[in-house]
Amino acid sequence: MTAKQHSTFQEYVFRLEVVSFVLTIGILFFATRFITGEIQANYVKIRQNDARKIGIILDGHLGKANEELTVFGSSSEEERSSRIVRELMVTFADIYLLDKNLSVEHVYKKSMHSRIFKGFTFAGSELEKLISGSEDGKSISSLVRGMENDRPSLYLAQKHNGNWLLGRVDMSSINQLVSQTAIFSDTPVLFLAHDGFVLATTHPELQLYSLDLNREKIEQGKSYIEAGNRRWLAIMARSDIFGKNIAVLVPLDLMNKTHNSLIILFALFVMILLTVSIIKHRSLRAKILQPLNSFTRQLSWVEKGDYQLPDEKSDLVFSELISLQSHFNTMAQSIKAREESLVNGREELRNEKELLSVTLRSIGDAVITTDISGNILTFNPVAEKLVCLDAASATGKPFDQIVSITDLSGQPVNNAFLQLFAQEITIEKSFEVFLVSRLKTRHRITCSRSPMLNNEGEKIGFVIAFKDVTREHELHQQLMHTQKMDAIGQLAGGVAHDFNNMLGGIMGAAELLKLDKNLSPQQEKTVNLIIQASLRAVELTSKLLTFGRKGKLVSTPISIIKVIQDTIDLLSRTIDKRITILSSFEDNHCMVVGDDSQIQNALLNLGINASHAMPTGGTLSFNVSKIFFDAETCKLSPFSLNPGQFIAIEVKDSGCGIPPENLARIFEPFYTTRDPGKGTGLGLAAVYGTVRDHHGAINVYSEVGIGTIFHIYLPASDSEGTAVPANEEIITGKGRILLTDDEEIIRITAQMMLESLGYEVLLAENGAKAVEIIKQQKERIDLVILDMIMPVMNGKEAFRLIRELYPDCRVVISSGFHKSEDLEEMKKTGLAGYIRKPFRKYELSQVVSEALKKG
Amino acid sequence: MMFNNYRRGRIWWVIALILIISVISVLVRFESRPAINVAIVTKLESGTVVGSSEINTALFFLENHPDCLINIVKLNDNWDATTSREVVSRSINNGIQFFILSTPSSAAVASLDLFTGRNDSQALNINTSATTNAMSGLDDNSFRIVPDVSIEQQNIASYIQTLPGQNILVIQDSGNQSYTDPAFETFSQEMQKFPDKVIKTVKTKVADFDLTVLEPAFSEKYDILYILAGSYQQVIGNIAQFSLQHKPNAPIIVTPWARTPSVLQTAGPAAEKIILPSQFPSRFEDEKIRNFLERFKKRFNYEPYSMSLGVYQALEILRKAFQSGHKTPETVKKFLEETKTFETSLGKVDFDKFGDQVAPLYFITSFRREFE
Repeated sequence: MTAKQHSTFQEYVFRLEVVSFVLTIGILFFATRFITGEIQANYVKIRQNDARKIGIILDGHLGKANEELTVFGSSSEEERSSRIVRELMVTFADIYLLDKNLSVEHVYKKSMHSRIFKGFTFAGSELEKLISGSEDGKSISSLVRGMENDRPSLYLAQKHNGNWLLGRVDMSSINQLVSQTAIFSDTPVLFLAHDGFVLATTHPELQLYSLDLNREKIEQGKSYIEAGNRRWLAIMARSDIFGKNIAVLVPLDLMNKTHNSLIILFALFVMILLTVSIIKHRSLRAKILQPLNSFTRQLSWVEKGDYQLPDEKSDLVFSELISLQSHFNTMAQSIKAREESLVNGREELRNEKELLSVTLRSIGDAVITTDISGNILTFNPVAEKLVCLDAASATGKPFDQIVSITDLSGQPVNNAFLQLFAQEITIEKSFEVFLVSRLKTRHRITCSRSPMLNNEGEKIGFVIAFKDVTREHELHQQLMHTQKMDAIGQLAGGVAHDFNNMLGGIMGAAELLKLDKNLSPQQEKTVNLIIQASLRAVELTSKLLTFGRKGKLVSTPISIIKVIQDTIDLLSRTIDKRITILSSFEDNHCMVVGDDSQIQNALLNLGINASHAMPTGGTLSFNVSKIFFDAETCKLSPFSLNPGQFIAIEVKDSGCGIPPENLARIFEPFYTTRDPGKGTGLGLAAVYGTVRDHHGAINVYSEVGIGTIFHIYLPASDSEGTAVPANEEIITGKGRILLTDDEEIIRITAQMMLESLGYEVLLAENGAKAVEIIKQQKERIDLVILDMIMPVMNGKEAFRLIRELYPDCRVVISSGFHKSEDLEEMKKTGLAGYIRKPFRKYELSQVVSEALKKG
Repeated sequence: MMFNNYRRGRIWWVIALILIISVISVLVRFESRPAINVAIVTKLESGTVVGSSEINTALFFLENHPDCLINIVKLNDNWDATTSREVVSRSINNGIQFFILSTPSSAAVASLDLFTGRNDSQALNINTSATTNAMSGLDDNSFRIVPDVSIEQQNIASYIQTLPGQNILVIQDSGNQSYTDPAFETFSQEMQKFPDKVIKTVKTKVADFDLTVLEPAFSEKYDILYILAGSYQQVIGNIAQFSLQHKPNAPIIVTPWARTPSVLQTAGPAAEKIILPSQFPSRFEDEKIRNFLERFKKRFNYEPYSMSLGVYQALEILRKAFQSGHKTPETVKKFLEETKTFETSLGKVDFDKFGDQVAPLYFITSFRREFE
């Protein structure tokens, strides 16, 4: 269906002009016709009066003759004297006396020559009717072509006593009678036969021989005749004698002139009107239509975004149009400004959308927007990755169809959208659930959601954000584990430290007792038992300290055999007693360079895992051997190995085994097959990390129902490890020693030891006191023995201050629990020695002697 | 779109202007019909018997053929030879190339050289009334609808010969000797073939109706009266009635140029005795003639004269020539000579190689019935 066609204003105005023009012309035309008709009618009326005058003249002239004829006809033959006849012949050309047969009985002639002779009959001629119709005493006349001379003649017939009297009047005389009048008044008179033939006329030059016999037209004044190069109107003149046989021609020259003048006037008016219409139309077009068209063009420019508008006053004439142009320009400028603002707004919006899009793409969280019904509107890349589904496939689908949610216990949450997201909740509150992807991977996520509102505050959808906290949770768990381990380490360290102090006291006292010469063998044995027990306690605390020690990898030569032995020792105390722990060492010299605590932790983790796999007991064995890896083997290994000798540590259990599908993932952090809360999944990951950090390798072999074997390969070292003193020689000496320890028992026992060695001992219970004493005694202190962990000021701080005050002051650290990095740092800054508590006398004497030797 | 509106507006204005100009042209009676002038030369005078009949016949023709290219020019020669020549000459000079001469022989002869003495392409005429032999057998630009006087009189003589009676009184009109002299000559020559008929001739101007001449003529013995007069003179009827008074039984033969109802007005009872020779048959014997006469009378309220029928035929012939693309006297003449025979609505017209018609006469015996 095509659009409705509208006409233009110009067309409308044009049509209006044409219609008004036509109407005006029509009205004028009819008015002109009416006026000319009226003029003609009035003219005809006037002329009809003139015609009547002709009739009256004729009647007047012939009436007398008619009376005379009547008298003649009434007279007898004797009375018809020649004189009377002569008088009659003035008017009449012939008078006939007719018998009943209309034959001529007697002829009275004006001229001698006549074609009517005695015996001539009018029977059979057109006069027969005339003659027969006459009545006694009454005349009937007829204008016919005379039978005597072919000339027009008026016949008057009268009946007298059964006979007829027929008189003929020659029209030439009558013509002469009216000619002057006719010529003078310029109104030709036509004497007509009954058939319209012009028998006689006052104006023969007109060459009119007949008239239109539509007498009605003549009587209505509508019989127009062209004759003699003039136009006439034929009017019938009534005459009693001639009847309707007289036509008077009225000249229409004047009327024609008037008519022509009116026509010319009409034509001029038409031309003027046309000209005025054209001028008006052109003016209208120039002053109104073209400006309007210009507005239309300007509107189209504005529509296309072109705001270069003409000067508002240019070419405009009317204030309305100027005002319109002005307002239009203002409007255009407003539109332009708004459009620019809109463009800027759109640009900003576009930028914001781009920013939002980039943000959504860049954001680390999954952002899903839905409509009010839960159908997905947007699905950012993180959501795609999380759900393992592209945005195109997700958009438009119901949320629950795309996103699978389980609670933290693993139970699926049905209608998650309605239950979890489409709620009247505050924006900030978030919660954690699991999201199961299309590939069935599970992600721990925190969810936050917010309703989207329109300007009216109505909800139009939801924004749901998922934050994948899986890694965060793992890290948190790792942190928690680490912190737990740290706490345990701290606890262990603290306990060990205090325990060491106590042991130091016990051992020191026992040492001192042993110095007594008066001891019985039994007493000495008892003292030796005390010392032995104390040494075992020291080993145990040392292991605990090793377990709790944290910090960066310390690369020192360590004996794997010793580490394994320590590990077995710990495990035997902690795991199920129904598990038998075995060990075998192929070579007694199995040294590696690394961090003994980390290696011990790794072995402990393997042992603990093995114990978990044997809930009803079993066998756990640690086997150490040596193996050589060549370059080819190292190349094939997934670990970064250097060709050479390796220490192979086998940890084997007889547990339930690891299913093959889990074997590949056991070293993944947080991967666990245990129930949630029962395992962090970090143990084996830590083992893996430790092995890697030691440039080693690890692999596992397991059979379900049989057991599991872990092989750890560590690069072998040729180092001998930390040297144990070759003897228990007690070295005496001289000097002033400042002993600093917060434990009183240590101070007492150590003082007694030193004094027994020949030294002078000053005591301080904390670092601050020691510094104070040094300040007081500065030149007189040969050696300062500092405990590390002390209240008020610890050993590290005291060492720093002492070295600041007296850079050459000799300091030895005595401690049962310390950070190895602290010790290394202090060594770099001039520490003279270190002795681990609890110490024996000979250990103390050797360390003091060594330290005093240093300058 | 605006340009189209603008153009449409212009077109409207152009149309309006054209309409106005057309209206004005009509108002000022502007005509541009490329008509061909055909002059009808006859006696145009109020009250005359003839003249108006030919003009009205021409008008009647144009009304019956509105698509005709012919424009009628009326020329009055008063049936006078001198006037006729002047009028024709002037008209030829004014560019009129085609004439229908409805004039007596005297006038026709007077103008003859205007059609033969000049360049042949100047003018052409068709004569409807002149029977003079002076026009016969000439290769000129003149064609005749009517047979010449020789053929006419031969026919009349042959007819009279069949009538009973021996003595023939011939009243020869001396008022038109150019016609009656050669007519009588031919008649008398023809009558010599019939020695049993005796001819007595009285030469008089019939228009005068001189009883001093007629009385003694009609007093003598005769069996057949032959009024040798033309010009449609009404007096023929008077003469006939006068003859009836003297010789009630004698048939009265008139010429074809008495075929006019005005004769009936004056013939009275003598009409029963009148025998009318005519180039056209009685209306009661020819439907076409009857139809034409009735339509003419209905239109103009009077009967046309026989010459008028010839005028109508002449116009039909010219129309045919013009429609065939012949618009000069030379080409029309050639067309007429080559075509020779024309079937007109009023009968056949046969031209011989000289443009004369050879056709028999019809003898109408019921004069009154013919014109009542």
